[in-house]
Amino acid sequence: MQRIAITGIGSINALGAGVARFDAGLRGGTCAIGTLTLFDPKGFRSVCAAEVGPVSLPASVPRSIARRASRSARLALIAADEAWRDAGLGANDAADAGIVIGTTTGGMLSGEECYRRQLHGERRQRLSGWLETPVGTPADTLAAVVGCGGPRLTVSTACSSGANALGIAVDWIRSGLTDVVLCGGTDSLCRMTFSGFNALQALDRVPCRPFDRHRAGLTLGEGAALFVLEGWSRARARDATILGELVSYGTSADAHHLTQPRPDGAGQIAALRRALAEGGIAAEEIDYVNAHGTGTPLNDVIETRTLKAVLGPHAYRIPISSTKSMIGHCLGAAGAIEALASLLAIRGGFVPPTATLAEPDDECDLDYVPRTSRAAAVRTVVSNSYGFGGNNTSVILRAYDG
Amino acid sequence: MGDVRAVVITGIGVVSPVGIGRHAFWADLIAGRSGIGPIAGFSVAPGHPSLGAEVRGFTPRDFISPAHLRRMDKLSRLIVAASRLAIDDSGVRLDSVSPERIGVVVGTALGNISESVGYLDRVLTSGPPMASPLLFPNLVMNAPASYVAMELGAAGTNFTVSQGETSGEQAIILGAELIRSGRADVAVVGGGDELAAVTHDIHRRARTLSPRGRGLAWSSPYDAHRNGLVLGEGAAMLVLESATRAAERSAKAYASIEGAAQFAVVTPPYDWPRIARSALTPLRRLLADGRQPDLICGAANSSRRLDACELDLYGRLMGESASSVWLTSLKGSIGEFGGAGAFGVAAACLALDTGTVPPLCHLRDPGPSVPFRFARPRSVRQSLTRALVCGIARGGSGAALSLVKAGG
Repeated sequence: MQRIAITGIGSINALGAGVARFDAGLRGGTCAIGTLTLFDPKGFRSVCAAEVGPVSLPASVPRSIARRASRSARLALIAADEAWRDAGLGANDAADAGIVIGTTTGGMLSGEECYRRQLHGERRQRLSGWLETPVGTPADTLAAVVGCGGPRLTVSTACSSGANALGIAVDWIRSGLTDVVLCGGTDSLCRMTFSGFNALQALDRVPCRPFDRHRAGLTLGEGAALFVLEGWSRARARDATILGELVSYGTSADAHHLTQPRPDGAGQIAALRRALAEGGIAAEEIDYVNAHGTGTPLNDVIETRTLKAVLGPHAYRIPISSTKSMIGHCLGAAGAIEALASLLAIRGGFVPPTATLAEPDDECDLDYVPRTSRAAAVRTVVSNSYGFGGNNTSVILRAYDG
Repeated sequence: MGDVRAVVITGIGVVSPVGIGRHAFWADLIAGRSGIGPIAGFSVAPGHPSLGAEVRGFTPRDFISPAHLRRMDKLSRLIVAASRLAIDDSGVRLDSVSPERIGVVVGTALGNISESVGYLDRVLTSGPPMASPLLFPNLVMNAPASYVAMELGAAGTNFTVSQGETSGEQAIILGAELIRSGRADVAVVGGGDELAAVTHDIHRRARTLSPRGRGLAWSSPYDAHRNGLVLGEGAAMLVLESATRAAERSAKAYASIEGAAQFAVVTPPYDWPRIARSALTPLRRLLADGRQPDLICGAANSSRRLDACELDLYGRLMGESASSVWLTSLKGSIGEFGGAGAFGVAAACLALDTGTVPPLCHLRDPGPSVPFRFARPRSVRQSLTRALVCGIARGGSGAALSLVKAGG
């Protein structure tokens, strides 16, 4: 089975634009969660949000695209520009490059704006806003800017979208479909998700506190993380800097409930076991788990049980943290953003903290790295992503050792 | 290109504007019936294009358990019912397959668009406190695939993909890969979309719809006088298994998936000439080594430019042999929608299996210089070995499958 090299990374989230800012924020344990400003916060039960702030596009984006691109597409464009340059790839390399994007709502914010204008009977109603709305559009926009002429796909499996996008890209390379894939996740905040999670009373009124005794829900965030994945031999042949290895992924469906995880964690357990089996990784090899860790009462307990069930006593010996405590839950982008956090931990020799964890829950009795990051030799990492519909994905990344 | 040779299609389930279930769908299709009529699901302003291909006479409770049905949105109902029909058709006994070995892949361009708009309407007009906690979970793109998993007890890989008008083909290709790689024993795959007022309105404003009363009244793919598309809806789901597994349980296979191509071009949206040109090389690769199709099921939707580009593409692809190739498109019967590609695959399977070329609904005048063979006005009995199903999306991506008659 061909190994998969990570040769480029790009990032934007509430901690800032660029991988360097993300890395610094993770090390510093900076909670970037603030208050909603992107649209009118009036009437929401919780107004906590991990916003990116104003988004300025790289100069490489043509004006015709910059004018119409949705916020999700813009976030992805910024991360893609960084990842593609990081990989040292040019326009010629793009001709056969595939693209896989995970997103839950795509350009919904653009669609909402169109609908709002329509409701208010505003004269100026541009059709282009509607055309940017479908979830498949950010992938088309990215492909147009980077020049990716290879296979193109958008995967939308709620909060595991970004993780599944990485997994599908791995499969594409291993099956010989293409040798280089630009992949990851993107999602902007929008009224639909913000009001929906509020209506479900799933949002904490203060910045989310994963694994904490007083946790009361998640905090929504936005952002994008993009990877350039290449077949090992291609990366070696062109002397690319290999940043790490994407070893394997595992998926499963709960087949249980649209919003609640299975209480026995069977689906999460199956996904993690599959990832380990496909990668030929023993539980004892795992040095760090980047948890899904949303901060909802149910998720954190069940995920903790899952880790104990699969990793056994090893679960008690390794650090586990939720980076959502710093950048919120970025939905369709979360899986990719957190895989990137895992890679940064591997490369930087540290474990990012669960920054807002003050008082651990009795049922959450593992080492969740409260408050501050920690220096540690990290070689192999699991990143978990669980989504609405009972969609579970675990991704395994490993250090590059030549 | 991914070699998916060992994957066979053993079950077909459709909920379509021309019939529910494989038998009704195929009977209507080869009789040349169209599901297009005046739109009943929502009101259309006077003077606006008013035709649509809607699913009619669909009784969800015949296919879906009451506990799940209660909360299910329309698109989920279509897709879950089609999945149940596909499983029944395949003869797969679900209790004989380990749940985590059953995968689900659904392709949809727009998902639950009608409820999304209804939900937003309330939030925008009455404020966030009016957001419905019951409705919201149904709005995620993967709600249909999750309901399929619940209804069938499918605990394996569960993907939802979306890439415009190729969403159905993409889902089937991904599902075939689940079988080929050994990740699943049974994969329930396909696509669907619903006809919604908002989609109709956007297409009207983009002037892509067939105007009533001018030229041909409705969708007529490949016709020289075609004047625009008609939107449709429905869901087509297939059961995929390895050829080995199907043989072991002595199951009937309609066709095997011989190969697939996924391609794309860097282009602004709707640049059909460039998109079609980019498809030539990957399609040639897919059909190399004598894998020439007897039947092409295209993406043509009666729009002037897309159909013209497709004809040009297939003409170049087939060259001299074009005159022996049958060409068809289902859009005159079922309309255009994101998951329609899955119907193309379903119809191609049935064409191969029964040795019948379905007629091209509404085709009157293919024009003087089109080299292909069209079945019209009636279906044609003809032994077929291989079919090519091709989809291309406005954003510049495409997906194609090569199917071979089972045992052929």
